[in-house]
Amino acid sequence: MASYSTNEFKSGLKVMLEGDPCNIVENEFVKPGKGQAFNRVRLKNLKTGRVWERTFKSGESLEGADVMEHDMEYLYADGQYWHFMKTDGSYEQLAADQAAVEDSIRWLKETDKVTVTLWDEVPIAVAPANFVELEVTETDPGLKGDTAQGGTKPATLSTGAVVKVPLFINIGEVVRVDTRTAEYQNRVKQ
Amino acid sequence: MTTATLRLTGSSETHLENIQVGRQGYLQTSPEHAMKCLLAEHRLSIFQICPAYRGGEIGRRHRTEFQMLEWYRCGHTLAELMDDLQAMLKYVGKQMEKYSIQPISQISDRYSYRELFEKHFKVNPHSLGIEGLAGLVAPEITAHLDEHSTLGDYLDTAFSDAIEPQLLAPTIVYDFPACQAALAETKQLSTGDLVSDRFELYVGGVEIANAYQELCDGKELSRRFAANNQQRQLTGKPIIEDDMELLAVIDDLPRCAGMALGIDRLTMALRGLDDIAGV
Repeated sequence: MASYSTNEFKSGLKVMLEGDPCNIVENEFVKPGKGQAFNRVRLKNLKTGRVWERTFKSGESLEGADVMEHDMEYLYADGQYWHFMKTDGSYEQLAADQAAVEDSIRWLKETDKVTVTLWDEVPIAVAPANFVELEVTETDPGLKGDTAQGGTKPATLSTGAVVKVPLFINIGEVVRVDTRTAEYQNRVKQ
Repeated sequence: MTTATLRLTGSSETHLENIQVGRQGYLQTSPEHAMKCLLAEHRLSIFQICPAYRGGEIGRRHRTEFQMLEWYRCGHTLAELMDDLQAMLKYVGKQMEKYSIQPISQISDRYSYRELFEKHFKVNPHSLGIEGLAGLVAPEITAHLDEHSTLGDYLDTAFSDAIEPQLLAPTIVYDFPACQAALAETKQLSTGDLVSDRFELYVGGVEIANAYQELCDGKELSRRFAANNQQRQLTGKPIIEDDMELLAVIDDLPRCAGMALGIDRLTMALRGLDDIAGV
């Protein structure tokens, strides 16, 4: 893999830092007064999702990371691995381990489209779509008269996620949820 | 007046990258040396607007080539130069109003480096060593520094990370640490602090202008060139020959104060731009 010098840094570039693949989120060249120039860089660790802020001496370089993002379909879990299939026509299947799906596990519904990040061909992260539609499997009974306004109650969805929903939502109904904030959006008419 | 932008010697300032043009010389990093040679000969206040070149500097606030306004006032002190700057910004503001552009506010604040530093870090910057400074900022902020980094590098890192971004309204900062004197005189304050007799103008968290009570001492200049090159050698940067032309006349330099102002940066500030690309 090629290595990249600070003057080649730009957002979106995938590099290795402390053994982990990272995505450069923001890069700024800084030269204070008469001081030493450096780059102030924000990087997202693609394995943990954590965002790091680091400074690099101008001219320093980082090794590139062989990271690819693929649109895939979630197939099933076998108890140890989660299986995904590429939707680019190749039908190629890949298995992801617990660490890779950890953050998105509660949104994964079979046949849903997801984005899988591969590092050296191995899945390291799975991102669900921003909005998913899931069935409510458990919640307190709905209250008559409570339609659009009023309080909320917890509801367990088919994937195990728990979100706050309006009081009028009943078991068996399908709701649309924003996976970035875990917030209820609306009820989906079947 | 104008001076040649292609010069026989480059700048030995440790953190400036000179652009060499074949064997013909260097593109000036600033017109300072050339103008001081004229000053020593003619002893008149002078100014010029000219391009300056600094290798490797490309970013939101940096361009390899940029426009510099540089002026020298014979017999003046830095306090008078501050008034100069104030008057110039006022004039520029008036011109802008003619075109219905909202001018930037006038310079309202003048602080010493120590005041700002103490307000933020609760410690006198002139009494700190490298270790003390390193302890003030998060390790990820100093990750670009190493065993060859100087006291000045640490001061710059702390100041630019914590204080500069807060200098949004036009602000003058004066009495910089002695190790950051460059070609300015140093002086001892009544507090005992040894400082360099310099000031800078910041607008929008960005350095716009830089002024010196000019050093007129050949022996001291020679010592500073040597220190620059020693640091260059340590950090694997090319050695820059001493500017003999300047060394030959520096003792004849009249007592004067000089300032360099980045025109592209000032334009950014005046127009509220976040990226120099828009200038």
